[in-house]
Amino acid sequence: MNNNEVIKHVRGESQFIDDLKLPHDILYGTVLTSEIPHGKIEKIDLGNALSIKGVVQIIDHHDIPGENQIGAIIRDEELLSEGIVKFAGEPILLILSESLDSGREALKEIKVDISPIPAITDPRESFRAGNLIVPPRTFDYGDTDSAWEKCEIVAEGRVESGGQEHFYMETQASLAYPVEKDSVKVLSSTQSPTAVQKTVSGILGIPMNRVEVDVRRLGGGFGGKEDQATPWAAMAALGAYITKRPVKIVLSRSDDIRNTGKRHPFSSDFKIGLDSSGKIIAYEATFYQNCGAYADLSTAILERALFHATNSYYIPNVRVTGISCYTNLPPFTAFRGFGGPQAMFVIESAISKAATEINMSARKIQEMNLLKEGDVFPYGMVTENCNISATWKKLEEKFQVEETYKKIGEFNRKNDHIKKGAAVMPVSFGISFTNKMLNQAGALVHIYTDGSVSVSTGAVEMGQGVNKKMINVAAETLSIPSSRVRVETTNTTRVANTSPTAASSGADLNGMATRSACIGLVKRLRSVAAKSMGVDIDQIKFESGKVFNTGNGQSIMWEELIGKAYAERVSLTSQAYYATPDIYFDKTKERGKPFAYHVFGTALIEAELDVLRGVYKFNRVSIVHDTGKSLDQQTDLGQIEGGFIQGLGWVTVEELLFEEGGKIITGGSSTYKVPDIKFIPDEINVEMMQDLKNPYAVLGSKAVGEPPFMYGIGGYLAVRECLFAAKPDVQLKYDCPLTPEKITISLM
Amino acid sequence: MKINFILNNEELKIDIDPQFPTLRFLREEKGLTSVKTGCGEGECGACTVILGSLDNGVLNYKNVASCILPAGELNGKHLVTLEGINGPELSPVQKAFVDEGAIQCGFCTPGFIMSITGFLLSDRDITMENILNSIDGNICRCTGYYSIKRAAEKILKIVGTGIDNKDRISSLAGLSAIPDYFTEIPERLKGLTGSPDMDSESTAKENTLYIGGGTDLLVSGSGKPNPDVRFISDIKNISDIFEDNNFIHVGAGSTVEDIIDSEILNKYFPGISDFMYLISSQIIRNTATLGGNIVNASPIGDLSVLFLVLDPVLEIKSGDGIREVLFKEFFKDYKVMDLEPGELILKIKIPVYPGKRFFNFEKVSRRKYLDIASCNSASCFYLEGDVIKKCDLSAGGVAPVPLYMKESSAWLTGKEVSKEIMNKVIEIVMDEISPISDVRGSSDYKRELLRRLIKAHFIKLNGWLK
Ligand SMILES: Cc1cc2nc3c(=O)[nH]c(=O)nc-3n(C[C@H](O)[C@H](O)[C@H](O)COP(=O)(O)OP(=O)(O)OC[C@H]3O[C@@H](n4cnc5c(N)ncnc54)[C@H](O)[C@@H]3O)c2cc1C
Repeated sequence: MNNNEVIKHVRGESQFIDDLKLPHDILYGTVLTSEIPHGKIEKIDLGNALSIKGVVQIIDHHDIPGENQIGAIIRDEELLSEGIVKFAGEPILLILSESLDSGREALKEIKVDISPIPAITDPRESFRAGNLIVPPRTFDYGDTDSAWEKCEIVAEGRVESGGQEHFYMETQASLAYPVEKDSVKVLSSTQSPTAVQKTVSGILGIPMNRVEVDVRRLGGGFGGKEDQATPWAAMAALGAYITKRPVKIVLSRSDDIRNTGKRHPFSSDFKIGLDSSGKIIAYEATFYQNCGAYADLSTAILERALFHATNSYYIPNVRVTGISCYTNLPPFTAFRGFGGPQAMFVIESAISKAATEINMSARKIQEMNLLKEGDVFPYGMVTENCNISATWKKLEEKFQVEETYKKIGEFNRKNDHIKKGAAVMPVSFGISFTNKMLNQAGALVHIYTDGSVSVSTGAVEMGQGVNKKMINVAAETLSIPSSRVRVETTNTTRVANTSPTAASSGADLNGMATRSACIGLVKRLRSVAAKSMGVDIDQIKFESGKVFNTGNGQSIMWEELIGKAYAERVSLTSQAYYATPDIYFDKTKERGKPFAYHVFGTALIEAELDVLRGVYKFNRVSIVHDTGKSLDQQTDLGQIEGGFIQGLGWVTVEELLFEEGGKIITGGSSTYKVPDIKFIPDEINVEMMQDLKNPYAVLGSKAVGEPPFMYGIGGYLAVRECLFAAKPDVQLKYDCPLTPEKITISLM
Repeated sequence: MKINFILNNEELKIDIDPQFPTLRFLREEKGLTSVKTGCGEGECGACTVILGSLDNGVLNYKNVASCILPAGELNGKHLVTLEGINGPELSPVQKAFVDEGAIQCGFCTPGFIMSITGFLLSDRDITMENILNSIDGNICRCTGYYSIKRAAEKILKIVGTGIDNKDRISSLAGLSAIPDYFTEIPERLKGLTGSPDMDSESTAKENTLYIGGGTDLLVSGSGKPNPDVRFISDIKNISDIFEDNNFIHVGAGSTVEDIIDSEILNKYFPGISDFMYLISSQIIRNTATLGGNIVNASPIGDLSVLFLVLDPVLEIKSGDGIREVLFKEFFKDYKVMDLEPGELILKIKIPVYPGKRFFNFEKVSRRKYLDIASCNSASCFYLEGDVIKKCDLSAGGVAPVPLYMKESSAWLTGKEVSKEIMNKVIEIVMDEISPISDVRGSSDYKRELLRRLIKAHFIKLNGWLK
């Protein structure tokens, strides 16, 4: 991470939106949302809300000057409800007031009469009712129907995975300023500045060039601010545009949990067939994706689930179907892994089930079926630079996998109250937006006359360290110390038409653009240097903030060269653009090469179960992760560790519960629990495999944000192993999170 | 309420609603934005500040959650935010976080720095375990905590070896862990008009609102504006834990951390501090009181359930007099107890027992730490050989009140410890409880869990008997 940046963080001097000094005429936006998961608004009675001191205006959908529409992929979602509400937490009114308290008071005054319509929360039920976003999609590879005959054993089952609250530490926040009469400037805690700009432009009915969106940093995103930041920013902009006063909207934690989308719960069926040696012959799965009330990014997420249906395995006959089902829950959205975790949880469950049925260890089956170079994924992409076996082998060697299993067996023979278990979790994750269009990025680099450098890209810093990586790329390309480089806010007037910072691709795409912009500058500067030193261009060498004449070893300082370039009227600004080459996907055939490359890795997770109390802990995790040539080792290590713990949280403690009728039960931080410092495994070992340079990303690096999340699934599998050791005939559904309650009930 | 306190290096005299959350005062009125709003209910630690107070002339600091710290509690104290820790150079705590990359998005970072710095300012031994305990209420969603642990190790190395425990403040200032102005704080605090230092004698009115830590009151939002707010911490001797006349006296103002630190309680009830670590987190335990836990009357209240089996008597100040109530008989129904408005719980009195006594507490929650139990249970066995002379059993989360299990406890009296009596008493326990399904678990689960927790008491008892 950028040193200046972290120093501000540890001193509490870095500012998030809620920390900014406010102008004297600021208004606070309070959003009134539906209490009812599905219904028709009959009547809105404002009561005395408007006469409360400080309440300035209450806005409803009629006040929207443009179109009342925020759907990004499918245009099915209103900013403020026009009459039908589809989830508890759906915005209806925007209250603007001079203090936070008066807005909250107004909220209590207003009565919204909603006549309920039956709500659906189960995706299978919506499927039966035909309540789908788009028709189901199927990836078909080989000949599944005839393959079953060749299988020695066939296992079938059902798998449930729960939703997951992002719990980014900074809740959704935005601050909008009117600019003169006809424009707005929006500061938003968003991963998608352009999406905010576009939506605001639509809502206000003004062109995009009158909407400036600026993002300094996010207090965590994890996908939760890819699409779900947009409505709050749009409401702030709407308020500012109408009242001509700045408007701030920051959600309380409970409003944030209640009103915004999370990871999609999936309900799935699988069928897997193996030969007697453990080779997987055929695999079939159907994913019922619980999308919530509006499409949001659901269809893209489902697509990635299909891409990762076979995780790290080669299977010759595959048929996977994904169904995006509307329900009356908050619009589920992007979350680290983007459907990948849900799909991988299904295949790992299938392997686990098959393993018990043929009495073979799941680890053997996993290993035997690992992808090899040249193997084809069910969507037609051929594996290239396939490192999955390399990470698996390295894990075995470095962390004594065999030995660990043996020791666990011995321990379990001697102990009754505590049972141990382990699982290995391989992960192969495709890098690129599966929507080809989004695989583009821009960068704008200035060198100022004092030699300091300013970099702007489309990437948003949310803790993942992309700014640090951009600094490293610029510093390395310009051969200057990283202290001379600063990364600016992400701003739609500097870098336009940006893709969201998502899909682990922020550093890949924007790093390439930054590098290319810097190469452009070096080229110009090289000529300036050659001219001034009176030598050939190829005799000029840039190194550690100096420019050398390799002929005689003489050098001038970088700063001096910049001064000369300016005097010579050479542009010190460079803009560059990058688009990932050679990716394509044909949706009519469901075939193509959607990813630039894959990230690979394998983890070993060890757990122990307190059989009496039904609680467990994790003793150790060992991870071998293919990072490519890391752009910043500390940053990548942080992503691997943090991603893993978030994944472990998803399958263990993080339980998102809704009432039958659709209202959230775990709607606060006292009921929805994320990992704390005492929850994490006692020991972690991370081995980064850096020797394999990746040709498809900047400076041989690899994306790192999402893949480690899925190692967490191994935590679920390890606890399951403990349970089997405790009760060999245990009946336990494949259902995560695996809470103490589910364990205890299964042990009864 | 007029209050006078020191905020960082500045003395303040302000008039403020005593129940106003300190976090909001700091951010909205003082513009101190290092203190972050993460959850507003004490669950995440992003708003951690350090609070220093003079107790009998000794300055004590602790890390607390400012979002549920009532502003009135600041009176006469030293309130420190990260702005008040920053010096020209990074402190060793800050530096360790930077060096180890223990920062990603940075939103939780100030809270972590404050918790650890607050701990360093306390009088606890500087050990890895204690550093980790100090941040058990700080949530980080990015790092997975390992880099934070590595930073903690570094802090332990640098500060742990460099510190002089006799004069922690000067010593920490010497290490640049805190600015120099801290050394003058004790004197400056003495000069404040300060807190009233009330006598429990001063008579309460019907509508007097007592505030312990406020960790329940400010979360539930039940503290309506009240003209007569009194802070437990202003009442003399109400936090004392001492032994006399065959009783252990535990003041109602004792915080959970006071219980952890109590030599007397640890002597009579070995293991009690380990049980206390299962309750909330240090930034809450530092202010949450025993009295508040009792009067909050949550059916799952950990302290209530734990103390129910220690045969205690409650001493309650009522009007000008003092009355005593058997704690076992205190809870009547859901949030109904033998306590009139304006009455003040002074202490719990536990009889000292000279013979063999086994005491245990069990708690299971979805997340082991910083979570409310699905079910908890305490037991206390008084033994002669293997014969139970007397036994007290309690459980939480299985009835409308923290439940003293009268039937089961009585039935065990006179029995010899065996597997059979364990199984039999579980049946009786099952008849005594009436759990409901809620966010903490289904009623079936709670039944099964309590069955298992009773077993756990017996397994531990057996181990202890051997
Ligand atoms: C994040 C978090 C985690 C928590 N985790 C746990 C947990 O794990 N286990 C658990 O049991 N609880 C937990 N709690 C609840 C709470 O912290 C405890 O119940 C605590 O002991 C309450 O004490 P207090 O002093 O803060 O109460 P306050 O909020 O100050 O008071 C609570 C009530 O008691 C009254 N009162 C206080 N003292 C007296 C007295 N001496 N005489 C008469 N009336 C009095 C007050 O008027 C008020 O009505 C948690 C709370 C939070 C915020």
